[in-house]
Amino acid sequence: MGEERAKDKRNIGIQLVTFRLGSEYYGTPVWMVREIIRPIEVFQVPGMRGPVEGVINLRGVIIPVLKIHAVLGAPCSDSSEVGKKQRIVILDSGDGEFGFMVDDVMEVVRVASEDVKPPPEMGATPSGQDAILGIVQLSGRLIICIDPRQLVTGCMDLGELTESCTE
Amino acid sequence: MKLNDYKALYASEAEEILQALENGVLGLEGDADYASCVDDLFRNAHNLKGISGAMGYDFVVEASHSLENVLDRLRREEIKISPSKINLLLHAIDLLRKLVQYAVDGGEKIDSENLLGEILVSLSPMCVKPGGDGRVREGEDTIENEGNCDTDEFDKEADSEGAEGEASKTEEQRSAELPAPEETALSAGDGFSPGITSIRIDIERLDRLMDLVGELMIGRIRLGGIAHEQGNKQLLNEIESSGRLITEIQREVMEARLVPVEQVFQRFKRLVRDISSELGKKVELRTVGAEIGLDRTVLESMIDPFVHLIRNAIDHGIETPEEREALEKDPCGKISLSARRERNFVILEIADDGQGIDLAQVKKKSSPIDITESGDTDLSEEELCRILATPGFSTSRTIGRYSGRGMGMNIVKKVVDSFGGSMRLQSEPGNGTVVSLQLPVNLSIIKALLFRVRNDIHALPIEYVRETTRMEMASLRSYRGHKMLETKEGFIPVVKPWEVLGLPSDQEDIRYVKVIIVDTGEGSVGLLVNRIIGQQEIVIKGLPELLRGINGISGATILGSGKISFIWDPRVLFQGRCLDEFNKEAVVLEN
Repeated sequence: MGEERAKDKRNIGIQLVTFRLGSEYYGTPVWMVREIIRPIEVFQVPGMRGPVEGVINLRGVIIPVLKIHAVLGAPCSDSSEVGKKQRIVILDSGDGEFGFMVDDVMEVVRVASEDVKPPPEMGATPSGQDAILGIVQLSGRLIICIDPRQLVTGCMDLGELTESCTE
Repeated sequence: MKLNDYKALYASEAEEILQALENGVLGLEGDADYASCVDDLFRNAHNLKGISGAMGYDFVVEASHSLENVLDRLRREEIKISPSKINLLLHAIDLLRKLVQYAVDGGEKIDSENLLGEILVSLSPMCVKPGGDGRVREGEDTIENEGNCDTDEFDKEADSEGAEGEASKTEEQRSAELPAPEETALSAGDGFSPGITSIRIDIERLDRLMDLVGELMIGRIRLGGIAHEQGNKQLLNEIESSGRLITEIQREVMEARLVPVEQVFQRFKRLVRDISSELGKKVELRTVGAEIGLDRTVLESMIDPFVHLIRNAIDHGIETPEEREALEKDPCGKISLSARRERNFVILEIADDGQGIDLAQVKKKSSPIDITESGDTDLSEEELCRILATPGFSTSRTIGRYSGRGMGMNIVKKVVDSFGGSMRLQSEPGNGTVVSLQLPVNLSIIKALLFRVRNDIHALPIEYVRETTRMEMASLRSYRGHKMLETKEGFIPVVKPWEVLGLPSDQEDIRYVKVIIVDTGEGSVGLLVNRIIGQQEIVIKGLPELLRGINGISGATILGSGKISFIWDPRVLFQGRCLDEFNKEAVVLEN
């Protein structure tokens, strides 16, 4: 169902929820986002290495929260402004829900499909590369479009990677 | 009830019958009482015909009818059972299963006719008259069968005068000859005999009930917290007594959800037969403790692992009959599946009397994969287990149909881990291998000791707690870089959970510490904590997919305060990798 809707949207453009991570801007197709909540207590998972920051209790359901900055290689949040504008974006990966903390949620914008350009080539492939759908320039900002489902699979690889490295 | 509900009911009933048929046929092969076996088979075939008729699935009626005919002849001992006939019967049951599936799910009509034809063909060798003493009526029937079965035409006339007419007629004959089993079959078919003692409930309904009880318990814990804060004694008492009721309900629902292990064990009879005959080995399967109940989710998930374990046992464990004879063993290998309950766990065990695991071979193969080589030739049980569960590890040089890819044990371990269970492996060269899987009886609610580490609350299943104590930090002794605690049983290692959690310590300079003495059954360990909160019943919530398979954590729970608390599995934590890591760290530090 999701796929179909994605296709429909592509014909008339994509609606992106845009958010900020440190000094970078990101966008995720709006239909992928389940909800956006104010920060709530994140509980640390014992023995967890890898990209999961912890878990939250969202109305009785335990949902993991990713260290999205680390996964995407985005600059860390400026500690002076931590708090006020932070939000947790909740997504459904198909394998279950997960969330990630963003520094600010900006707006929902509509961009034409042809405006989304392929991401620039990087020397070495950074982690989370599979999740990058493309980039789009919008009112002077570079918005990096990401597919959260890829983020999770990328994340799992990373998790296994970290685990096998420490083994 | 809607038609679909009936269909679902039919499907599950039919599957049960087919399973019983399959087992019955396999029973003919063993030394089970032949006559009662055939009677059971006949009754089952008859039941299938009955329920299919009620649903209007004529082709299933027809197929089960011809099966019934064959079984009837077996019962009269007009034909003798033989391995090839058993194969034919099994084949017919497989086809019958497909037919039932078609009836329920729908599909191409042609399929059903082809299948029906196939069933009749597969049964036809048994319909041939053995001599002159066959009944005339049945003789005609068989000829008709044989004549028509390969053209897909066999239907209408055989159906109208064959199935119905014949069925009623022979039933009369049969009941005259063999009244006892037939009566049971009839009364079962009639349905409402007085005193129905059990009903079928959709498992989803039970699951829902379980969830609700879980929520109820969380609610009660919350209420208790509020009453405690207010210091309202009367309210606390009321909550206490309703709490007991909730616990009672919970226990009942939980018991209702348990499924006897039998339901999974019996599926393996066929598997063992198929694999062993293909590999040219003789294997006898025994089951023990099949009546033990286990959570449905856990049990269902164990099917795959057990398929792998059985394949391993037959392919790697059991030798060929010739090899066995040379070794002065019974040419027929034995595999036993057993279940037993230990505290809040069920132990599922598969044991074979084959050649055991070739330790030298494992050692040799493991060196490129496993870096923690200790140099000596002996592998400890845990090491062996860990190596065998490494993905891609196989001692087999070639990839066969049944094994050799090296994924089997890894799959087993993953599934077991995901339920907070554990796997043990014991092997004795020449005498066989035993794999034990320890699984929680229930996934839902357990008693746990809650403790605080820094700001987080953690839970430890109460079965593992031997005692809790308060002691002076200075009384800890140091042994080769490890803090040790002196107990009545001697020195035991002390684990600092904040180190496991990767947190800086805030306790090193504290004079007194709380210690939970954890008994894992394989050894004891002292767990240093900031505060011991107390014993509580907790509702286990499944871990999100991303968090599965974390070492030392078997689940999570949401406390009355809304805080998430993780449930520790000390066995993995203290016996497995974590201790290894401490050791490694210690070694690194020393260097």
